[in-house]
Amino acid sequence: MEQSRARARFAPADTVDFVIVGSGAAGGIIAKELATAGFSVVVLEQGPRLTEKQFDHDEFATFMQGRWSNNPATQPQSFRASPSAAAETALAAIYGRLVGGSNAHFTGNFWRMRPLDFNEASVLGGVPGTALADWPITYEELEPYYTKAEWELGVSGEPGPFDPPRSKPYPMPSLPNKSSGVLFEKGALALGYHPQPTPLAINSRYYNGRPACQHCGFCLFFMCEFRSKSSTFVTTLPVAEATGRCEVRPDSYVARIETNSEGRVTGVAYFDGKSKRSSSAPGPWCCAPTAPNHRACYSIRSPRAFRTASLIRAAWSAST
Amino acid sequence: MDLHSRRAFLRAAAAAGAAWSAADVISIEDALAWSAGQAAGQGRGGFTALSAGEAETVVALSSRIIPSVDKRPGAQEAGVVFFVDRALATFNSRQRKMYAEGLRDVNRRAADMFKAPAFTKLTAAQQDEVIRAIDKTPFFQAIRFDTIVGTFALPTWGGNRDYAGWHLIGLEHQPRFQPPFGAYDVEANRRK
Repeated sequence: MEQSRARARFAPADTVDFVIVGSGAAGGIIAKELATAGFSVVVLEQGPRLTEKQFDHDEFATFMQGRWSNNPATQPQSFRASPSAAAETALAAIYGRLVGGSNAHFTGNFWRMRPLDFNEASVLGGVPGTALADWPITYEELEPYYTKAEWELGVSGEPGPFDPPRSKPYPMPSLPNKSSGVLFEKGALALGYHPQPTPLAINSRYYNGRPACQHCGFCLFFMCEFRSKSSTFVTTLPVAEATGRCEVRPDSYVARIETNSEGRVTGVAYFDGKSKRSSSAPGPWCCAPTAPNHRACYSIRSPRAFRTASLIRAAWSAST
Repeated sequence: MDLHSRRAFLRAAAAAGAAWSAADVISIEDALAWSAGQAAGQGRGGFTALSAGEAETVVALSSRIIPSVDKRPGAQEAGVVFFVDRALATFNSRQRKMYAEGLRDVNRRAADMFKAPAFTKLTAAQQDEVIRAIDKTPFFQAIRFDTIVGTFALPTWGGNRDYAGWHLIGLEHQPRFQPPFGAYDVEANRRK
């Protein structure tokens, strides 16, 4: 069902506080945080805004025709295994192209990173030929936000023996084990391992106004018509829009990050399917998947702004 | 329902040709509209991309790829030819020439190898022999792929009629939890 929303509407020429590129796992959450804190926000999403009625189980359209993902014909990608190899056209990265982004079609796996993931470089040493570095934050600093995310979005799980410390249990018990999980668990136990149910951003019971999983089995690459998958499409984006300060603008494909003569970022230029438009904001947030984020940063024409973006980009790449 | 009686039930339902429990609620209307359109235009010239003769050859070839065995539905019952026709008429039109040449080729081979007037006139064993001679060709790879997709993709794509493909593999498209098969006790497992 589609909720009635008090959606804000800005003219493309309006200057807002923040422009967010992408409406998925990152963009959808930042939109809610900024809008509920009182800022005006425009979220630019390259894909359409769909409703649950359009969330079918058409495997041919989804897997063979990439209906709701990036189109290799109009958004070509190339891939090479080493700097000296010739780049070949390949569908190297698939991402969701709809309001909710890849977060709308993800499986729902919702693991926390472990303390070592934050300081691996200093504990285990670097990797030759890479710029591997510690994160500037620790697990302990991030822990409250993991908990906030698990409770605000809705995650079902069960603590395992090697989990990092948590300040609060999962908000919902884990989903039931299915046949393949049973086989995996039996095998893992026989080998002396400690299997545990995967934490999933999927409701195992009624939670935050959304029903429990109906076990249709269509999670990865499909959107949940039952609204049980805790994606930003049904969790944070509706909250952001309900403030009346956030507009999610679908079918808006960002082409370039704009800068002024002083090298300051002023907003983004994007295509809405009809014409090229620009959206002005002192603070654009690039929340696209890694590869499109890099593309957006390479579009910056000011060397100073490009250097800044490159530093931030290095941090993003480490995190994705 | 235990496995045996479930199978018997599926088989009975498949034999009755009913689009019963496996109906995908969201797409059933589309499927019906498509099927109705097919039925209306089916007469002699119901195909868009394929000629009547080509369509018969596609039916024969796809029936050897997924045959109807033991009264279970196969590619023919699933209406793979309608999927192929629609694909060639729309999103797969670039393979139209390859299909036309490939279908002519199997008829030529039927004449060369068995002095038959057409591939469709061969026995199943003879058809398999022709297929063995071409099974590495791009054409055969394409029709093999299309036969599988036409059997199992949603009926909205033209095949999988009355969900014949899903009956074939026992898929019930029902959103509900099915407890794991066999005896399963998580606590007992962990004690071991």
